[in-house]
Amino acid sequence: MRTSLVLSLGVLAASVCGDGGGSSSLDAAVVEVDATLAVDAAVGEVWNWNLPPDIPAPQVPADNPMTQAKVDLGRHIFYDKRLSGNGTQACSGCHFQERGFAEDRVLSLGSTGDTVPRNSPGLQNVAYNSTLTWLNPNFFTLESQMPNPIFGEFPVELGATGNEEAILERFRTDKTYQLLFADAFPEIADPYKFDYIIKATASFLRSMVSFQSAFDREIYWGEEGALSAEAKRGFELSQTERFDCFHCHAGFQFALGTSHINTAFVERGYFNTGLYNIGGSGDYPPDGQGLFEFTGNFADKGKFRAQTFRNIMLTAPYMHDGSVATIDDVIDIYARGGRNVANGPFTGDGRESFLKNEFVHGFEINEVERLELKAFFDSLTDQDFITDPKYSDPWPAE
Amino acid sequence: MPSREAPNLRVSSFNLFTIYENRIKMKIAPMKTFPMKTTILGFAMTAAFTGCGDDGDNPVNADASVAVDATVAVDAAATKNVSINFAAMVGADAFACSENGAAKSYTNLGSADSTASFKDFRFYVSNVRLIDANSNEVAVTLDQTNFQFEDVVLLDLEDGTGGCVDLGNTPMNTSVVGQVPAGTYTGLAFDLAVPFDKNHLEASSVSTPPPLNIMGLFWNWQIGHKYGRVDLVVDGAAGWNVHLGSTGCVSNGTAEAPMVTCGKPNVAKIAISNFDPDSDTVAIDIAALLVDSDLTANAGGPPGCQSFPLDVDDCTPMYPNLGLSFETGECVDNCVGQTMFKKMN
Repeated sequence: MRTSLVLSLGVLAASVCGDGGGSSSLDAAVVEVDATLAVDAAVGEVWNWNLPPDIPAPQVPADNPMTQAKVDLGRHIFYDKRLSGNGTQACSGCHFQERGFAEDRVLSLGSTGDTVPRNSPGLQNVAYNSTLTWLNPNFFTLESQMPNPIFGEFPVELGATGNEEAILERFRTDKTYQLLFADAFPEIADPYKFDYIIKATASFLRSMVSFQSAFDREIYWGEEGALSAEAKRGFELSQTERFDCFHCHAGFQFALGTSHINTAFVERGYFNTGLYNIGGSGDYPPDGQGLFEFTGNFADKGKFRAQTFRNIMLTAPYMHDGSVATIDDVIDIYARGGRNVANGPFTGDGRESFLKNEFVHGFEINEVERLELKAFFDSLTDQDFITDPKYSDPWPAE
Repeated sequence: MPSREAPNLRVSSFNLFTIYENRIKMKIAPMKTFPMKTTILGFAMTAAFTGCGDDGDNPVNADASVAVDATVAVDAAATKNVSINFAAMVGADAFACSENGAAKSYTNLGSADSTASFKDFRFYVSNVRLIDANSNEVAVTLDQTNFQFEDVVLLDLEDGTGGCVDLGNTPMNTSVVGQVPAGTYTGLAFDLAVPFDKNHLEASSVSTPPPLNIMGLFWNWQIGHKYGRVDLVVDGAAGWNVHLGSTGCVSNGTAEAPMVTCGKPNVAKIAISNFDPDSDTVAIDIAALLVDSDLTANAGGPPGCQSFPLDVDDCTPMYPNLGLSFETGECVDNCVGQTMFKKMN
């Protein structure tokens, strides 16, 4: 992973150095440096991430630089049911723009009727995730993660396995796609391969940046007064050792597992929050054991990736299994120091779990503070992002 | 060959992108931050010129590389390289995150003789100096790497395995590397801290370089960085964490840096005498730091000592082992009472 990171950064740096277009306004020394690297100009276009001044750009794999043509193609694919084996479901079937690309179902439903044991997470700023999904510590890039929903069989999500050629033929014979693929991969003789489908879709997902919330406008764009006093107090509460939100929800993404082009030491951030403690054993339900599923270390049971706070008021229900219905329920669980499951097969008090992270220690919260905390969460709703046409369904209404 | 004012440092090429981005963005919108940022930016931009020209891996840049190297090789005869080695210890045992694939446990820790394993073990040190036989101090000019920025070094003693899987990562750093004037040295001194001028750089900001951009070692703009982080999983207890840093920092808000030094700097000033930097190693003994703390009890707030005022009962017994008073946030008698750092036997 480290190797690919370095490669990607190298290309980014080279593309910037090689970009003579913007250099006239810079000082002479920069222009000289540009000249020494001009021979490396054979890279993708310089992508405008539209980031606030203080926010570093996300990492981009060296073999999949950002281009508008790939983003355009990826947007069409993301919203296209023809990507699924039986032609009934698109990526957008579980990721809804108006919900920050999360869903309001408790658990996702696959194209063939399988229940996926996860609530689909939002996708804003997904390019910054150190690792993807709720718990897989090995998905460092969208390109490595995406085969999971496309080809996975247990459970089936998009159900491409066994239908690969039929799916590719749908793309190959569609006139819209013929133009889009040719633009996105002009140097590839036959781009109708899943490799290119995934690269384009990953480029579209990377383009989904959300930094226009009230919080961002005040803190990162310098717009005095954008953030209400109430929301500001809520943010400050989240930063206290009393509430201790920030140990896991850190940085501009409010998630410890965030990486960007300056990142030298990758942080991942998996935590057991005391959501379950079946029979006092520390166990989680069998289809959601967290990081343990990959490491086999008992101590890793119930550890899931801390998700971003961004657009959190749009993404109920919460947690990896959608088992917490409302934001007030979430606050109650953390205030209590873990969830007590009072009946059913998963009975047990998460507060008492010996595997629970020590920062989930519980706290007193009064009604004013609760409103302030929720005002802070509200301030992270990015209306521009959830209504931005460039992330919307490009296909004509059926 | 164009002339360059190359600073005495190397910056990896990706920092350049950052800096460049920043300059572009600055034209678009003002930075809502604080004056010190300007200093850092200024520095970083100078560094960036070296970064672009000093691309040793790129054969087309061979000429530029030579030019930069030449400017760096100043006064080589009068200086010597130094590598000051550190070793993480738990009493007499070498520290490790894992053993046989699982978290490694240590016994007899703290005042209640607890058994515990570790989740994190990292410290920032700065103001590193060597001391000669006449008690003259010379600053170590640090090599500029991902672990060393200007005058601050991250000692990263965890390897991301076993218990350190949540917070840690594979890369480690157990030494301070740099140059000093040629000579013979018999002592070592440093601060266990991020210097104030860098402490409040926001960890995830575009202009904050490694090793200061690790979010797990950062509180927020107002409070700044954790100078040290050692998180323990304690058998039969909720855990016990050491998070060192300045407190009592006054600014206009959590998202703004303070303009003046924090009320309680909590900077341990460490001096080790009779120390030969060429052959000796500094032992960082976490058992010695914790010897007076009851790891099974938590007197307030999150488990352990997070250095903030509410943690008075957890921190007061521990701080003297750093040579500090928790009450004042200052060294007691130049921190000579610290027991955590010593010459390895």
